[in-house]
Amino acid sequence: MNALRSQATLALATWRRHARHAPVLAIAVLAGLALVALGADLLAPYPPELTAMAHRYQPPFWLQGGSAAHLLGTDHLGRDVLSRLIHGARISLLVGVAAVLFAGICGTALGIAAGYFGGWFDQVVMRLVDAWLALPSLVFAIFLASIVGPSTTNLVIILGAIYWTRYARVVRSEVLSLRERDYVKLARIAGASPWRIMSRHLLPNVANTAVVLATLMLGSVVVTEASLSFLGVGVPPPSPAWGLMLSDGRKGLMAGYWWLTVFPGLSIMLLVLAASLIGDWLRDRLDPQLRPVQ
Amino acid sequence: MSALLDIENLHVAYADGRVPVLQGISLQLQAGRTLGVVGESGSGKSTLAQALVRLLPAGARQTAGRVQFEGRDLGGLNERAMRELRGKAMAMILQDPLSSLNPLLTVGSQIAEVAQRHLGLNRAQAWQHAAELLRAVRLAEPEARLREYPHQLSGGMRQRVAGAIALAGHPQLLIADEPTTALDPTVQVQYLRLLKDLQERHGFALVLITHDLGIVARLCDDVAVMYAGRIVERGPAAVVFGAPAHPYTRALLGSLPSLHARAGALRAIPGQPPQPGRLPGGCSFHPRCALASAQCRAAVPPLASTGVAATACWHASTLLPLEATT
Repeated sequence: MNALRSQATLALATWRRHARHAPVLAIAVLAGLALVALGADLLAPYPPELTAMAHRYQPPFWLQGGSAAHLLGTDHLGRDVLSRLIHGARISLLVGVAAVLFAGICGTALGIAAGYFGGWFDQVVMRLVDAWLALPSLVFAIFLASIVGPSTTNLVIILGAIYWTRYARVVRSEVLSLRERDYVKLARIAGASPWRIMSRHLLPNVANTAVVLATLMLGSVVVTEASLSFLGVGVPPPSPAWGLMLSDGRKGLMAGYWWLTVFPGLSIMLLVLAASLIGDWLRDRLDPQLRPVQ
Repeated sequence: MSALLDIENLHVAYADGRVPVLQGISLQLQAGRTLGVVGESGSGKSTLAQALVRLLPAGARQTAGRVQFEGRDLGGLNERAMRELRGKAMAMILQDPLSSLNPLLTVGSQIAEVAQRHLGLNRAQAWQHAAELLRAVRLAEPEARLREYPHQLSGGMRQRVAGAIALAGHPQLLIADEPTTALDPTVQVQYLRLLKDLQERHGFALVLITHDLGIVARLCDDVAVMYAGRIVERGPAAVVFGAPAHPYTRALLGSLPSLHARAGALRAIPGQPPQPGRLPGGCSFHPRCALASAQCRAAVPPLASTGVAATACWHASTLLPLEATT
């Protein structure tokens, strides 16, 4: 009984130690956004694409002319801003996470292979990465988007194609030091195949880095997605993407319809900020050299 | 009887052949025997070990010579055939028990991996085999150890696990590159005794690379003394240590601290070992040798037979038998 209790105390203490310095607010924001995205159909008061020309440009409920029927007002087609924001969270997170995964899988695989094999393969991959990084990412994305045409799937592929280079670089440099470890040498001496060494000995050891990178990158990917949608080469209208809402709302900005741009702008900021804070914390947490002294 | 391992005139060089590290190594090892390779840091001992398993570091290349294993020339094997041979026919133990094991995998899976690959066992059998191996390297509670991660074990335990991994494929040749350097002295003795016991039971040939002459004298049948990438003396351990013919071997033995001698200054060999790529002409040892003559400075002495042993010194025949090294 006592042993059980002391074990529970120990587990609690360990959890507390790990949770220390955790950006609770950022985690709550990201979790909240994820829940909203999942339950968008239940939470949103209106379908996101429902137009009502009679109720165009209604302000948020606390301003004169606003009503409780449209808490955050309506846009130039009378669509409910809150409903569009809620559905927009789904698009942003879905595209963001899918693109980060896609970039992560490609970049990590190429990074491990380049770092492990070295030689001409490494040269080819890394020069490709250099060339890739020399291009301004947004311009490159617009170029790609104009070739393949706008669709959500294409957007994920484009974003993945832009961001895999960062994974490849970081993972490769990590592998360069890992492959000199004795256990990798011994695995080769024990006759393990390159595939086995990469999947069993290298991949698990770079997983930490890849997770941190993914979290940090989520923010950039979301911003790029919003930018592309804003420029009209991202998520095709009338989908309620946040970038698209910004773009639509821009026309009403001079006329004083500020709620059309401020709310999607704030949403993007919240998501990006939360992802960055969590990424920073994870990086500190998972890097023993940066870990705060207990 | 043909040798298990037959190295002939092996040359290895770094930096595209510009910096020679091994210059004409010739050695034979019979099955089940123990060969000690001794020398200072930088004498090429570890490069020799890497050349044997054909995993030289990037930039290093075998420039001449031949390594034969069971009569097969390893230079003629492709990568796939070589992989088949590694682990199954030859295995290795390295110096540092901290980095010899993958920190993210359990001890059991790391041993079982080799057994599965080379012995064709299924998962359950491989784990069974792993437990037996841990028992063989005398770890207490092997079944519990199997499920533990390397960080849960002490340095000595980890080195035993490294030994178990090396033995998992039933190799005929085990290369141990300074296996006890990172261990406490008391653990060192235990570990070496264990290696010897395992050898008696499993019958593998052992190449023991070390700079500890005491270990070689106690464990090895034969010894090869290396200096600056060459073997300067070679022969049965009892002969080489009992009647060393090369001035370097004598100096090495003379520099050992002794229990009987008065405590005080250690008798070190004067000077520094030469750096690879900047070898002095002639016999590499001549700048540090009291007997150096014009001939020593002019030409490299060949490894010549002195009866059962062989030595590479121009003055070997004129040297008087050493009376006592202690």
